[in-house]
Amino acid sequence: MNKHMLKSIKAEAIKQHKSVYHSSLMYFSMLIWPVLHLFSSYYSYKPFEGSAASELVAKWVGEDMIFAFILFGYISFIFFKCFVQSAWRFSFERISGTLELIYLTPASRLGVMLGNALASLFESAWMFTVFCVGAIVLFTDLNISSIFMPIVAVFSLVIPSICWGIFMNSLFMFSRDTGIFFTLFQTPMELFGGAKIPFPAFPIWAKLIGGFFPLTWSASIVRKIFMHGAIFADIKAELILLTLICIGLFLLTLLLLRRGESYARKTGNMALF
Amino acid sequence: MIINNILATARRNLTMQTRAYPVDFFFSKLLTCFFTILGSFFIYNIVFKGNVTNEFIQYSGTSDYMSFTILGSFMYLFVVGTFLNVSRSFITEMREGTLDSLLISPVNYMGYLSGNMLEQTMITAGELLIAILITIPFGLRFANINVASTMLSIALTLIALFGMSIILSGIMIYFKDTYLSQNTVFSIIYLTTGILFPIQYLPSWLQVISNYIPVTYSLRTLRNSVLTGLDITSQYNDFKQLAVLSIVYFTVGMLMIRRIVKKAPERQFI
Amino acid sequence: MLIAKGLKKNYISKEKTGFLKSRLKTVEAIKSLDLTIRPGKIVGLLGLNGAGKTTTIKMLSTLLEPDGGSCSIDGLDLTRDAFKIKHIVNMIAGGERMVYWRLTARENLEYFGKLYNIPNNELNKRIDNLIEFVGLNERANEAVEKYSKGMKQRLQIARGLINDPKYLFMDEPTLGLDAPIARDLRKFTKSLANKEGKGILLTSHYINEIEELCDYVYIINQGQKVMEGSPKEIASIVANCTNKYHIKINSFPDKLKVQLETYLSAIQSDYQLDGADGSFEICVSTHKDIQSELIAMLSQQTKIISFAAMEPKLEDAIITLSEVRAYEQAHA
Ligand SMILES: Nc1ncnc2c1ncn2[C@@H]1O[C@H](COP(=O)(O)OP(=O)(O)OP(=O)(O)O)[C@@H](O)[C@H]1O
Ligand SMILES: [Mg+2]
Repeated sequence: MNKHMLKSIKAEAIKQHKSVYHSSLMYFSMLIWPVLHLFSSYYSYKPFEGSAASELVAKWVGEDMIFAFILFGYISFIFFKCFVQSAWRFSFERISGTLELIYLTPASRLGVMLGNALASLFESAWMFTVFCVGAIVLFTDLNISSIFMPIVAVFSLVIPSICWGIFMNSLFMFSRDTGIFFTLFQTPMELFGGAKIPFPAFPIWAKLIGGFFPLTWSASIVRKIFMHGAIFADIKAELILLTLICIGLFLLTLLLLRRGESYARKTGNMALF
Repeated sequence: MIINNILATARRNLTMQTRAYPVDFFFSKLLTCFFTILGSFFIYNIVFKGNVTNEFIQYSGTSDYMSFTILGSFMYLFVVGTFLNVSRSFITEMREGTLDSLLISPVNYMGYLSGNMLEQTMITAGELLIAILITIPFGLRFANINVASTMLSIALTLIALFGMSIILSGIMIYFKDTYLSQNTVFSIIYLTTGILFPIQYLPSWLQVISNYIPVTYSLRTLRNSVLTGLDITSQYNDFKQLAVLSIVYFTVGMLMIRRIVKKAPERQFI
Repeated sequence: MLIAKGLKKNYISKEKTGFLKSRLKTVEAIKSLDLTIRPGKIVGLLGLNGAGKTTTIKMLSTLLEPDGGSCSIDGLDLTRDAFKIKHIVNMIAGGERMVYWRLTARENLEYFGKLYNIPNNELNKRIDNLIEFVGLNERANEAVEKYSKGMKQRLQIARGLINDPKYLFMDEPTLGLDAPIARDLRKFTKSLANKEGKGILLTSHYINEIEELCDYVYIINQGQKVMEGSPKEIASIVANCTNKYHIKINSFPDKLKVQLETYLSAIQSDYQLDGADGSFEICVSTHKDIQSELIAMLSQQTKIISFAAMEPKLEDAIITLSEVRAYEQAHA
């Protein structure tokens, strides 16, 4: 990583932040939507709570912990979602013609993607803080083994979600038909990644799909750390898997960026929208 | 004149969409709907092994949880489709710079918007047909359906959604924003109108909001007509509420949009 | 020096033939183009809509990969050294979309400057100068969405100069500019070439601009060069094949009309008639010099009020070329 790349990252992050958070309403809505969705998820459990099967669920979710389970799943999901959103916004640069101008410069493409992702780190960090403070106020019985573990949790959210974000970004660079990637990756991630439904409850085929999403393992780590007082040894397996997935995503991103640009240079589709 | 406007707009939209976004166009909303239903299926069948509480049966009037959420997801599909398409129509024209060409032609707002609505309804109806086929294995049942009240519910819902999306369209133009307004509206509807659970679970102050959103009544009458098979007279109150809200939303929308669009060229647009 | 030899570009696009069905369609946008831009010179690229001007510019600025031919810019190869070339070239296109509307002019320039890795204090100095030059000083800290079309275009120009490129490609840069700014831009373009030794490629549909600025002109049509030379040379080549006469006469009897029509159709030409308040104006364009024949024929039957042989202009050259093209197509 050289100085030029760092500069590109910083410039892109600043630009993105300034163009997106132009209105203070943005900060408001950043909080209000997740809260509304969180409660939607919570209430969708209501038709079952207290039914004959409740005991079954306790073994996956924990005794009387449905809300905490959903909350921490949701916090993890938000991290990933923010990055995908920023990738999606980036795809609009194709429409505004600025993507072409970025490709005109010798800036590092990966740097621009990273800068774009970093701009939304701010967004997710802000929500994370609010939700965590909320969680601490709501649940007096949070079970955290040491002050060190929440830091591990933050890292196992930030790094995988950035990798995921730049991966989506590079996918979007490839085609103007970007909505389909959203549907193919974003919605299934929410479902199979166990943000709302306990991953261990899935049938094997669903587990196979879910296992590829970094969210699955990030969410599992976050829940173990905040709800079950996990120590480092308890989450080793997840951390290893997560690392492997991140490396894979990163390599794929590099490949896609290179192929994407040369494809655009062949077909001239950078200017189309 | 107005019919021409409607048809021309509908045709133009269809052409543009199929040309620029073919893959997305056909699968995106459908897949989202499918995944929502699959999620409910997992919770119901795998996590809770097909058990619902008596409270749910009492609130919803049915023990058929899957059909309940499938109808909810269909409704949400329709709401999202309409809002994304009809509400965004004007502001998209502004952004792409075609509004001026539109405004100097003697276009009729009502015709223009109805054209968008028509195109949208046709497409979503097509999507719904496919969605119904996909969801039958998940347990959607039509055995008790009362056709007359179902039709009435759908018709009133269309008017209500049309009115709501015109209002949203005005808000979007006024605030020069689609992202914030549309997502806020989606989130509110998703939580308060009973898409995935009976609204009786919500705190009572939230239920007050529900009672002013037509989608709540649309969902209730649709479910009662399709799942329980209630006829029109026994749902008289719900239908009346739905009709009144539809008319109110529609009137407010038309009054509002005319003013806002006329003022639009004076304001700078992104 | 920029030397392009045999540049070629095909666009391959999918053509919808029905639902989910499509076939590949190839457009030969540039067939084979040789082009040279020397430092300190302004080269014009002329052609009708769709001739391939923008495609050429995008290839030279590394946005498009040529499908054939070669191009070297100061010894760097266009395909192999694309990233090095990006540092020394830039492009300015007409149209108002290509900046960030929610950022200010200064923020836009800062952003692009950083992508070019320009040191900060150097960048700040350059931005000040550019903002000054394009006359946006007073509005530099205002969001671009509040700018007028021409102001956005001026920002676009400042952006194109942000990396102080050695070669600058301008695709209709004066589109939408008001007259004083367009004139300033022309003056500035000239000084960029003369004083700072930049090589400039310019496309424009304003012929005066090309005639005034360019040292050398290429005319392309359907992806092929049809003519090159200094604007004067081209105009004189064209002069030999285009003659245009404006004639004012005080009456236009039917007999004369028939005679004129027969005469002109014999040399594959035609005339246009503009008549107002009792006078008649005839406009004739032909490939032949028929001045004396015309005067003889007209003066026999009517009184000539005025007779003007128009100076051939580049514009005429292009129009003639396109007519020739249409003629050839029709008879191919
Ligand atoms: N992305 C693309 N895909 C397919 N064909 C294209 C694409 N871009 C341009 N073309 C075609 O290539 C040819 C040359 O286009 P180009 O934009 O270079 O013309 P131009 O000389 O710049 O015209 P104008 O004066 O209108 O700007 C045209 O026939 C055009 O239709
Ligand atoms: Mg062009």
